[in-house]
Amino acid sequence: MQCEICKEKKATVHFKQVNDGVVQEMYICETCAAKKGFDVGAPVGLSEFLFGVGAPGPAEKPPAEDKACPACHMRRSDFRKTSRLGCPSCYETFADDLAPMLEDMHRGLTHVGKVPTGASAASRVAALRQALESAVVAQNFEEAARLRDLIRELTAEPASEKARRT
Amino acid sequence: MVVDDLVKHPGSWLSTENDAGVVVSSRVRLARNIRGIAFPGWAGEDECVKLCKGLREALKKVPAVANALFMEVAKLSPVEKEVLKERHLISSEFAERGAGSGLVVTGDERIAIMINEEDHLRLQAISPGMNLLSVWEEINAVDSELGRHVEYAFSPSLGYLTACPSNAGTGLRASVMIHMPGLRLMGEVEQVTKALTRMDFAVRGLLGEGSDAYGNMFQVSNQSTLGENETDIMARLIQVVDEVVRQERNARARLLESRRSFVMDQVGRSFGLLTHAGLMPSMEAVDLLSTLKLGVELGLVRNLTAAAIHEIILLTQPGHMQKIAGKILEAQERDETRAKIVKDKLRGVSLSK
Repeated sequence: MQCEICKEKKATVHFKQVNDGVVQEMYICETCAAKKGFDVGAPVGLSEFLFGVGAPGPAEKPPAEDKACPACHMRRSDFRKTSRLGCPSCYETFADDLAPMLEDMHRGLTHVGKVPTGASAASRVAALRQALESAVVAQNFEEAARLRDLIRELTAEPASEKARRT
Repeated sequence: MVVDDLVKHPGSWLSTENDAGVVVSSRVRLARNIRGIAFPGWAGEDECVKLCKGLREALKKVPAVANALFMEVAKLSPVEKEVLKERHLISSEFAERGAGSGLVVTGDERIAIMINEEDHLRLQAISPGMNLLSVWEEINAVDSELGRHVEYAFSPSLGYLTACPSNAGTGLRASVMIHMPGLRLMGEVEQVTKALTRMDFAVRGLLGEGSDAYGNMFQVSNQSTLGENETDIMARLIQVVDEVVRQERNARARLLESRRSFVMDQVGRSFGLLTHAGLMPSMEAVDLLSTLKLGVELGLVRNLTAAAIHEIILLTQPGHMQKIAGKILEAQERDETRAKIVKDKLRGVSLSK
């Protein structure tokens, strides 16, 4: 595949950016990537790659403030340096920063596995319904189907109840 | 000292139980954190010490680890930490932690729990051979029971919350250690590792994160922990491992069929060096022992088992040698000691005609 910028060299770098649910993808060569400020040769921290470099998108936002987590006081700049969060509440504080990272790292954006004993079933279904909506909006239909099936499973009537009714 | 006892045993995961020949060991690890408490890398020392105490008490209520051994990292010597690393019970990161980090490990070393490494808890179960599902069941039970005594940091949409987002969701890292000398001798390792990476699996060398492969040992594990449930993650891994095992066995069969004298020569050379060299560096030892193990599995070596080779590999690791010798050994001393141990353990072994 050819580089989308110079249309000369072979595209060896795949750049994918998600801003507010808008997905931008580019296939470019190393030279053009370097011109955009992304050094393909040198190892970069995952945070730097995702936040610090790359082309500005059409809906470019002004540089974000250095938010801090109210629970543990970790700042966004601290997180960027180590790629590690400070406490469980950071997931909420830095939700916007985390969304593209999670998308890149994982096969899905919603947890469909084991839950701790006692985790409320109702709040889980509510969260899954919300995720289903977002998936549909983002046209991520495979994910949406998976979520729909999981919701069905969790809200299905137990067999004994059904037998009693019919 | 507890570590003294450990080095006297071969380490349960090295036995020939379930030895598929190609799959050396299976491991499942779960990352867990406690609600409302900062992650170990950000929390202060006092917080870590307090949490470690609390978790230790909670673990005493979990039957599988109620009588397990406990060790505080800060109280271990560098050599003891090496021994634990060599036995796959702790990570390099854990070895660098200070006060407030501790290890809970069962006597048979099947279950090991790191407190305050990257996450508050890293629950691990490990077993010889291809045994992913039962290893999963074991650690899953420990996790479920522990979860009744502590409150995990958990979000309905993102799952178990971890210090690094790459572990969020199930917090599950399932991995298998595979021995692929056949594929290497046929020059086909790279295409297999590349295919595994394309299929979304992480492939790492014998020493885990950030290491090169040596001794033809590769650790294959899942990359993603979110968006898939635990059973599916493991089913995919098992499926791909079965395929890799098939390819390795196929490569070995082809070697015997079309390059028999080459293989016999390789095995013979390894055997010769291992039984006669006076200085044996560790990198070389692991490579030679890998070839010798291949020889054993192809029926070219007499009076030697794969389990015995695993034991030699473990006992000639730098930490183990120094712990047993009871003193620090300089590089050349280590190479000399290693050569002696190898020659001693290979007494009575011969090559088939």
